Amino acid sequence: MLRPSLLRKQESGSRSCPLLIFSVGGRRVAVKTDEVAGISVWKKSTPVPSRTKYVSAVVRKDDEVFPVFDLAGLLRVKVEGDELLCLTAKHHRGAMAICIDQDMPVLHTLDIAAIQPYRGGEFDATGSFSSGLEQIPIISLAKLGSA
Amino acid sequence: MSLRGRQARVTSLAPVCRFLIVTVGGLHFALPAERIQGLLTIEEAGSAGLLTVQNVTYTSIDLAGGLQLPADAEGPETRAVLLSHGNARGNIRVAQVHGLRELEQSRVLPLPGHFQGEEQTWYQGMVLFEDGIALILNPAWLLEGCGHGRASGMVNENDAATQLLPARPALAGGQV
Repeated sequence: MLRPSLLRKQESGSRSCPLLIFSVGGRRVAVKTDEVAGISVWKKSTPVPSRTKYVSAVVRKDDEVFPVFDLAGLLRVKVEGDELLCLTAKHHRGAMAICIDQDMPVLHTLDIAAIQPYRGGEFDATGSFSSGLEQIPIISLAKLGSA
Repeated sequence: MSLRGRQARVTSLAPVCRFLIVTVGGLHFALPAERIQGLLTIEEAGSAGLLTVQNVTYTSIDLAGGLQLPADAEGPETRAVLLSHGNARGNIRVAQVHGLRELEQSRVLPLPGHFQGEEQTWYQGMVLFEDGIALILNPAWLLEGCGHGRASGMVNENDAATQLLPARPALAGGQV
């Protein structure tokens, strides 16, 4: 379901980092592709009253139930679109679902040398990179909610 | 109110669990059947929070309030579920009773480890129900502070008043 057309050709000898770029509330975010288990259509979630920050729902896929991480809440935005997508993230506590915008995520290979520290500060990011005038944060899905 | 005939029976020899599935605040919850002492209709329960049934007092538990869910308006499907755990006794008003669900223990799903807060003591896990899930409520947490009819914790604030009411005659609303 991913659009691979934006794959940047690696230069021989340079170390690269495969990323998946997607949008949440119109804000672009990148994650390492090896932390993504899949992308599917978002299905209705079931609220779970909870005291855990950003984890207060689950989503059912057939006989499996995944906790939902509210990435939009972390970024202080609202997901956009009528046909939202579900990013299944690999997390050290088990897979979890994240609701993202309907814009199709794209694969992007980044030269590691292009990774800079993230200066946003409102949430933990492992780094960032520039895309035009935009600074795109790289989030670690595996560590979301661990801070 | 008998629930006989509304339960789905499991025929295998694997260990089974039985839950009463209810709706509170728009969400489905599963109550372990062995903790349920009975069900009362709204006519039987009346408006008092504190219920006395067969000389046993059941303190009112405000589950919706405790979980910050919208309060349910009383309707024809409203029931008071009488619960016990050890010496503690309590009753919960539920918007709807969906019946007993019997399933193999292996079908009971744990609460995902991502839930790291107090809610770990609220729920004992989850079961699949309809196109979603029902959260299994922990009776020990639900009935915390309900022993001897004393109100505390999540117990409805109105109980202080309702406890002053004379005990109602026993109303056996049908054992599950």
